[in-house]
Amino acid sequence: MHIRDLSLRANLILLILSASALAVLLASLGFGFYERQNYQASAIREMTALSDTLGANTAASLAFNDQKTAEEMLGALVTEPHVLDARLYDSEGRIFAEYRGPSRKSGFELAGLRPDGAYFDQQSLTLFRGVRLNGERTGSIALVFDLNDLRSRLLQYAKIALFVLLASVLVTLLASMRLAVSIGEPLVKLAGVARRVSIDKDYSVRAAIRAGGETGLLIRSFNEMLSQIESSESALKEALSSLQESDDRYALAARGANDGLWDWNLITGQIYFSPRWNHMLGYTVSEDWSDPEAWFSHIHTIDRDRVRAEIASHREGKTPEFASEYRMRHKSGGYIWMLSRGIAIRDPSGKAIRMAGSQTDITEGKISDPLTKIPNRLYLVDRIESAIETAGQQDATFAVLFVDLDQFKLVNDSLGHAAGDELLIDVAGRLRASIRTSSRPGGYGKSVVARVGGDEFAILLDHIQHEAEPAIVAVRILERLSEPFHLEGRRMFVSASIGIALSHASASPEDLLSNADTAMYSAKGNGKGRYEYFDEAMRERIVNRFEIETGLRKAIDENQLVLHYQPIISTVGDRICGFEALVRWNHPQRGMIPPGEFIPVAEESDLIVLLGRWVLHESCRQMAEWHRSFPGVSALTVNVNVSSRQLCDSHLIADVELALAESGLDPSCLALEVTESSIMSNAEQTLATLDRLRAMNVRLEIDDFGTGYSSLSYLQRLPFGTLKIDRSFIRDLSAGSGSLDIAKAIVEMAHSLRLDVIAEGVETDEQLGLLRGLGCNYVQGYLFSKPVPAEAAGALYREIRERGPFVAESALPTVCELRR
Amino acid sequence: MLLGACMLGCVMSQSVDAQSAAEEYQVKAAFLFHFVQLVEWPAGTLDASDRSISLCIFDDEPHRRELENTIEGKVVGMRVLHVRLLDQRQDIQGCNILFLSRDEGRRQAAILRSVHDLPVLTVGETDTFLADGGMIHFHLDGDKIRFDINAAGADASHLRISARLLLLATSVTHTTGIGVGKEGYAH
Repeated sequence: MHIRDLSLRANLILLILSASALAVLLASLGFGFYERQNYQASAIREMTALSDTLGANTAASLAFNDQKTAEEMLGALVTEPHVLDARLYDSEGRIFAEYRGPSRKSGFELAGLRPDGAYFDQQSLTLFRGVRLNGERTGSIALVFDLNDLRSRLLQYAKIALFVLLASVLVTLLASMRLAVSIGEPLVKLAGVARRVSIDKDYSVRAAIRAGGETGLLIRSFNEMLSQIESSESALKEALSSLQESDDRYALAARGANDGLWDWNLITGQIYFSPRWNHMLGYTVSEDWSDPEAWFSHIHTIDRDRVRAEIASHREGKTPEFASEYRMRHKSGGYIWMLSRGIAIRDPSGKAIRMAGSQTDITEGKISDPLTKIPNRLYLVDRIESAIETAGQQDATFAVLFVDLDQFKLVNDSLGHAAGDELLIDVAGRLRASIRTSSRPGGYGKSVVARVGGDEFAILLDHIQHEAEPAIVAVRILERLSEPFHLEGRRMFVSASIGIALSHASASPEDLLSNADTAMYSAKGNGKGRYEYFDEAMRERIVNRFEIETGLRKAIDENQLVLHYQPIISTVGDRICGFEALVRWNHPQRGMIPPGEFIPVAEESDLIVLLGRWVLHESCRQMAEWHRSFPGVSALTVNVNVSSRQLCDSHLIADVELALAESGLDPSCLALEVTESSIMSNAEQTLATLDRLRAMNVRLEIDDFGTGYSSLSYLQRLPFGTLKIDRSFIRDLSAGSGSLDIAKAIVEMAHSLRLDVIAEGVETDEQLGLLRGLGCNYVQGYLFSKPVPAEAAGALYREIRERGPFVAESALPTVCELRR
Repeated sequence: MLLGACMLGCVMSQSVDAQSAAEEYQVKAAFLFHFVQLVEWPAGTLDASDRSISLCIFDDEPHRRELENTIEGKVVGMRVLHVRLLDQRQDIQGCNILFLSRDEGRRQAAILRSVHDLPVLTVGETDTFLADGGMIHFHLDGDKIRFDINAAGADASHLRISARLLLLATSVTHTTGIGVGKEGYAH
């Protein structure tokens, strides 16, 4: 067993023990030796001195051969108990005198004469010295010294030393054991802690061992090391968990975002698709593509080249990021819309080495209208396309319906956008309901209701068996829409115009939609709230209408519009009291377009407001001019037609004010004609406007009276001054006809309501005569004059003033009477 | 006894005692030598120039030969012992030691008186030697040669005799009178 194999304790104890024993031993030996030497030396010194003295003393005796004296002198040694024997030798070496000490042992014999010196043996020291007399050697003296004393002394020393040794060994043993423990124990404990830490992997443990010096340092360092490990452990754990968390978060986010991930190594050409990426296209994860072509091959042919170009563009650094929307073929065969985004990593030279990004399924966003949640145009077109395919294969028919809300803008403007949105959502629901419920079992299968515009909806009616089926559906739609809508707490009535286009062999989705749209347009033009089937001739009409609409704006700007004036004659005095201004369009190519063609078109949009504004301006201007031209005609009025749209327009008051202000025309010389039906359809809303107009002193006249649904209570309330009987009554006016009775009733009613009456469309004297008889205040019609341009009207007025019978009231100082 | 026998013997049969007499005086000569070793002359009395110590004996000394042979040339300290023979009339000046054998009875006293206060060590053998003022007196104790010392004489001559010599003397007297004996001295 090697000393190294012993424990630290044993080693320590052994070391200390042996060190101390050695020390004691060496000390003892040293001291013993020293003591002996010292003793011997002093013995020698003593004896030398003694012998010298004796020698000196006995030298003379030796010289004088005085043995007796010599012996006597040697006898003085009796006082020295350690001297065992003494001899005096003569110059020949013969014993001259001798002394035998008392402590001399028997049998002891001094050896013969030896050269000078000290001779030691076991028990004695024999000293031989020369005897001199006056420097001359005369003999030798030998003294024998007893060393037993020394011996015993040394023995005593040895005993003491041994005792000391034992004692020190014991003490050392104890001390070293204590030391060993105090050193070894902490180390053993430390080892224990270290073992435990490594087993449990618990780095929060610390060695709570007290120790000083180097061991303490070791323990402190050990603890510090554990702290380090612990903190780096926990840092590692944190980093790991943070990494895990980040990983999870990313995965979750990716999952939550429903995104697939792709990572394209542009150098190797390999691409990584995440499992989600594959899943989005209906593939299971095991199909792991690494060839980018797999991606491209799934892109819809229409989009493929564009996507490639967009990728290349970003790769070359032309775009800051890659973002592209395209269709991808799902495993099931259908297409889904994907938004793919990515960014490239470049090497120092700027070359793209890697591109990575995400892919999101945006089909729903793509194909649905965010407000109503029903499909959008994109989706519809897709469906129509597939319907075309199927129809072609199966020789089936389908139809596309275009539904346009007639009063949507009105609702939006009057009740606000929130109400407008509510309306659209409701309409969408009603349309869908119309499709679901049907006489046909199973409904209309793959039919789709989509929102394709602001207030436009389109319906794909698939698999129809009869051409009339769409009409049935249209009727149902109209019925459903005729029920009131509850918007912003109010009840509103909204109607729709529906266009129907039937599928035919070579049609494209766009064609069909366009046709349905045209048909819808036509339905709108023909009175709204109805449906129409598309036919080829319709197209022309619609195109025409479109042209009119676009041309009209230009017309207004380029003064292609012109006002014609038709005189209004008072039955009292047969005077021209005023002119009705009627707008005509002098189209550069098409010539004079009658108002019947463009007014309704204008009324469909805000053009009517522009038109109306222009008409107001021009008519006021013209009339003001006539006032200046014809002195004394301050009572001459101009009648301007105002549509219900204009009434609802917030700018009407301002337009009227402006027109009056710019022309300088007195308000009482401006009369606004509003049709009965347009009043009644919006009576409440227009009341305020009418009141304000009346407050301006502008005259108000109800036009086309007798054709609308008049509420008599409203009539009383509304600030009108004049009633215009609709021409339909005048046309049939003849003695004994029902129209005469009606006209009579109207006149009487009006008069009792303190309203003047104007009869329009008077063409015969008979009619005139009858009307006079009824007491109609004013008449207007071809009998007197058709509407003529301003110049002609002015000339007519001048003529009649001068001529008569329609004499202007130049003689009369005041305005036309009885006009309110 | 030996002496006595010798004296008789010397007179009657000199050849028989000649051997022992020669030996005796060899020993005595050795003693003389030792005496020189153990005696201190006053400063300046010993001849500084030639570093010699003279032992004077009269030329009619019968044992002069033994004396000469034993002493002559011996070194004591840094000096050499020489034997000088004196005739009757010669000046004793310059002698450091004077040996008077027993035959010198008559002139002994006069000689001693003349060197009484001179630094001369006087050694003799006659019974009255010390009484006459001599310093060291040989006598026989059995066959051993012993000596007595008259310290007063030495004092008078300003010679200092070593204590060691005194110790070995059979007796030491301090006066010209009778010797006290060994018991007399105190150590």
